[in-house]
Amino acid sequence: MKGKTDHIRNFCIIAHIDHGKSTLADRLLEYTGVLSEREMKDQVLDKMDLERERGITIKAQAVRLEYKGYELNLIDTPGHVDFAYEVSRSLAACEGALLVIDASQGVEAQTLANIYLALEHDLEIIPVINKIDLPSANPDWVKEQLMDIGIDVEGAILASAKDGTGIEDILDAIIKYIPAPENTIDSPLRALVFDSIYDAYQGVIAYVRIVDGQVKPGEEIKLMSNNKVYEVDEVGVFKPDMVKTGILSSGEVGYIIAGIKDVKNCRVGDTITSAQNPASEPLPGYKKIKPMVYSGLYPTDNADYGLLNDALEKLQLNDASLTYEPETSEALGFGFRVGFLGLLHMEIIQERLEREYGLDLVVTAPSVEYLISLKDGEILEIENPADFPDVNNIEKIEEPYVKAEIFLPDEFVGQAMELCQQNRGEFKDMQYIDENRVRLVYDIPLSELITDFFDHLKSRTRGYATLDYEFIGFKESKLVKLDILISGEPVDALSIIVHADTAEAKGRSLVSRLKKLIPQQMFEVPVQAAIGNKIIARVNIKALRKNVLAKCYGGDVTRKRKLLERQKEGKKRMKMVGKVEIPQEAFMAVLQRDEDE
Amino acid sequence: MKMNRDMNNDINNDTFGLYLHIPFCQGKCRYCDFYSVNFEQALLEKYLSYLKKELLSYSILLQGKGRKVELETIYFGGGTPGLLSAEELAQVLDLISQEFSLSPLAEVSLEVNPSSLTGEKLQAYRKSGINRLSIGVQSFNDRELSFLGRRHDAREAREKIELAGRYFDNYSIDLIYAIPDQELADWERTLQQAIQLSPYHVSLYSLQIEEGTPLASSLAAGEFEETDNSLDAEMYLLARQFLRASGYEHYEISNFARNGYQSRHNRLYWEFRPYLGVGPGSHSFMGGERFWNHADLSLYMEKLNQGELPVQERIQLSREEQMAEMVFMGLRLLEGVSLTEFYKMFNVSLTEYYAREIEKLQSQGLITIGNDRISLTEKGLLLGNLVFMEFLP
Repeated sequence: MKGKTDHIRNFCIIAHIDHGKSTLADRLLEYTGVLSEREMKDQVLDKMDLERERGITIKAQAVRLEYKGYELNLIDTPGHVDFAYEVSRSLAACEGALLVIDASQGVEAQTLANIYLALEHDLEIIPVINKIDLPSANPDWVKEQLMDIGIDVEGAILASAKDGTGIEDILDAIIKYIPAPENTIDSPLRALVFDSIYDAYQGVIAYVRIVDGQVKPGEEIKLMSNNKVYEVDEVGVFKPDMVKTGILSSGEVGYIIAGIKDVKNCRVGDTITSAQNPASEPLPGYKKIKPMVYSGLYPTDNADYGLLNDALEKLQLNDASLTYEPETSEALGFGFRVGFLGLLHMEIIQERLEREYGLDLVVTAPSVEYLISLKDGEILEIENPADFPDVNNIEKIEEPYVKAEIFLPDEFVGQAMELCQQNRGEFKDMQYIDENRVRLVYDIPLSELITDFFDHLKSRTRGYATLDYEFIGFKESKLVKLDILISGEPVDALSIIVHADTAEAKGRSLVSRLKKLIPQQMFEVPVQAAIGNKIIARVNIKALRKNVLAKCYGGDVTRKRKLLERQKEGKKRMKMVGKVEIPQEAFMAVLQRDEDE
Repeated sequence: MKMNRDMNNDINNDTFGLYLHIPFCQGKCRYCDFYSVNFEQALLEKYLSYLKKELLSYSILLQGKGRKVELETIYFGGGTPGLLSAEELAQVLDLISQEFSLSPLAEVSLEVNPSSLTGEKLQAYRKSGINRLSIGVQSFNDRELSFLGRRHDAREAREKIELAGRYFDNYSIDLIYAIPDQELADWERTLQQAIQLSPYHVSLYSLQIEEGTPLASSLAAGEFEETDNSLDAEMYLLARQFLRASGYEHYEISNFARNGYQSRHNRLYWEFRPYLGVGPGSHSFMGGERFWNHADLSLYMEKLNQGELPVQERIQLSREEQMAEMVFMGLRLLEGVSLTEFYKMFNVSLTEYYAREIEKLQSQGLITIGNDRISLTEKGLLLGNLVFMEFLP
């Protein structure tokens, strides 16, 4: 029958880090013969080295498994709050989810956040209690936990992705419990883009779930967010390599290639429809995601500016959420103001630039976007503290707020609340989600979250707390610009925006951190913090008086040379600001934690 | 046995120095990171037979072309070479003079600790052919000596130095400064006592906390704080002033000598000249190649048993590395590096090759050029690493 969908199942896997998501995915691929054991590289679905190393997924992936005449589409989702939107789009492409829980670790707070997300999308949840081969496994206890949070454990599967136990049961359960997608092949085409990547030969490859209708090569399609029209070159499915199919129809998961040149024109969450017979409404939930966090990226060696430009251009081809604009700093020279989804995204981009493009970078402290209303009525969007206008011209300043959700064991609630309050959080809600776990909700300025908030939260809750946040809007705040002067000269790249009430304390702690980070120079270096013309804190970095190898090391000249090479390497990675050598870490000093805390 | 081809060329053209490592101690000093194991007489004797084996191997290799190579200096370091009896030393020295041609004017140094010295032993050492002692005094302050984990006190140090002076007309003492909690006045007292004893040579080392030593663990445990480099600098300048006023020439960053008593062996290191090191963990430099032995006694012996040299690694220096090493080791000498000798060696002008580096360092007041030599200024002596690293490729 035309467009039959009852043999299709679309599902994802949700799990806490280390609970075995990737291994389970590997086993499913292996069992269904997608890949022979020999072909299996460990964890096929996580493609980037970086992803494999960090055990996180950054881009969504998809693969079609064939089993007992069914077509099972597994969509692997990114696993971090920075990519929460991408996760939500991947879930929207599925009808069900495997909920993987470590049999000895039990339900973790992050898992809860994911379960709620899955329930929001009306997904059918199949609990998989994994790692039952471990002596410490306690499946009954895990089942009780699941029942406590309202998950039906009737169909829960005991599995060990490591030794293959339960894999067949999982596949059977997917068929049995996850509903088939609706057959709407006769409706106008609507395909949900849940990821898109750029390929140098084929252009953009859109990862899609066909929700309604069908699509074939030669047809014209339209992106509903921007009304751009393209002709389809190829459609197909992932096995896991791309295989042409000639048609994709409602219920299926696959890819569309249509000569789209830029991932910015084919963003995650967008709806693809037919140009000739367009749907009247796009699929719900599309948001053009904007960067939340900005920071300045500068090559340590000014000569690498062009290289950095090229590298950012290439990374952006695959990452529509990355934005960048050239900027100039008096201290650091030519660089870029780069926008990221969050701190992890920022770290990943920085690491890729350094690793894949061999760049040595100075990264300035992350900042958020401020809305500044001037007295003359003009409104400025400022992403770089150095661009702050003269205080006398400012009418009001607004900053982005987020709704922060913290899941944690109840014994740490006091400490977490205290931390939120210290960071200007406004209490919104607190709920017990089971006997001893709590969900705390605060509205909090994003700028507070992107400094050291999460580190503090982790250490105050012995690592048990998890944090999710979403942007809720701009709110007016009493903010000031804190400048740092080194040897009497303001260093624009070190300026930060802080709340007026905490400015002095921040200034003092920042200069004392800088004192620890900036090595002694051949002359004394005063470091000052100032608001406007008022110096609020000062430290002196004493002159370096002695630095010479004394010992003979019994003729071991190689060791001497290596010590010198190490010192020289350290100097090379520093940025000359005026006559002072400043290490890269100093520009991130504001992110560091005070030792006495 | 394999060896680098150039080694012969180099040796044939030059004299060289020999370092012998004696890797035994009766206990480890808390700051020391040289290789040593606990002293046992039987093991020491066994070791000496291997050391002789290694010496013989090099003798055969170096004289493959039928020429004898002249040894200009010999240095017994450790560990604690003073654990060797005079007879044992004499046996090793006899073997050396049979197998290598030993210059009649050769400097033959032995490192000793004050606590192991007796008049009898000193006399016997002198007779065995040792003509210079390097005495590990380190301090004349009892608190500092015990902090460092030395096995003598200040009184014994003074007595033994005087005793050594009766048998030896050339000896050096080592002193350590910038010891945690040491004040400038403490250092001044140690210096005064040293000068009173009028040794021929004085080596001064600023205490460095080396990884893996007991001191490094105490530091990590917060038991003390490292001396601030500004006090370190004051101590250094005080010593320089005192010793020069007492007739010592400051001839190398860490070394002072009365006229005619510079350490000839150590000068080989600074002058970029060849030396051979034998024993575990010892280092050699020949034919532009640096190589070193396994710093592990059993591995050392096992390799020799298998008929191999106990070499752990060899590094052939590139031309740039050779130039850098000649400059940064040579700059340790206060006389600096001869521009002519550099040119002869590399056929390129030092001041042209390093024009940019030299300009920067001159403007920083760290180096000076004159009389065909490039050398450190007084400021440069204190900040030598900033100078040295500029010359690295």
